[in-house]
Amino acid sequence: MNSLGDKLDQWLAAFDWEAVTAMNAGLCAKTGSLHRPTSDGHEPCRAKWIACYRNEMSFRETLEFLKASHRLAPFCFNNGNTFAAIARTLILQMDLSASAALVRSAAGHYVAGVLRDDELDAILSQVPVD
Amino acid sequence: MEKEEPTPGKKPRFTKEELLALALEDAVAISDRFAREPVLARTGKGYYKSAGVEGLKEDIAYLKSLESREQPR
Repeated sequence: MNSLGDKLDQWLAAFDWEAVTAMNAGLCAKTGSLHRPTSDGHEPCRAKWIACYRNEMSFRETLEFLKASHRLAPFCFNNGNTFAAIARTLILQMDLSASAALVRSAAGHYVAGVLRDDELDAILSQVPVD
Repeated sequence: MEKEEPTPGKKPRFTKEELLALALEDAVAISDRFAREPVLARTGKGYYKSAGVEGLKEDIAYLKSLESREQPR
């Protein structure tokens, strides 16, 4: 049986770059921060996102991709909650099982950069999929 | 009748527009747990303030509330 981490899908297909940018803009407006692209991180992040967001990836790879996007910091402010919220929202594309809250929390912590790879793997391996 | 077990990975449950709205709603909800500045990019180490057990309880309640918000497709 495969674990959730191995589950292949186009997890990010709903999130084109315009949506990511709009999310950060909305978040900056709500938190009173300046919404502006960074001089170094924005272009590589945007290019990578556009090239990859529709790709079929495992759930685990998708979380890695979101963490890498967070690390590139394409925006001056609110990068962490922009990408962590996308990760947490991916859970909503699944049936809401008893483990959904745990996976949602783990996904957010991983993309935020405070949960190690092995810790994420230990959690995802406990969630079976068909 | 036997209750069907939910299957992780099954989709779709929400439209694209609904997902984007939910993502923004969540991003705002968790914004006080993050530093606004790009900490991970500068230090290589992330920051995410713990919400503790209460946070997990709120997450569970939130996920349950979404079940009732869902419209049949």
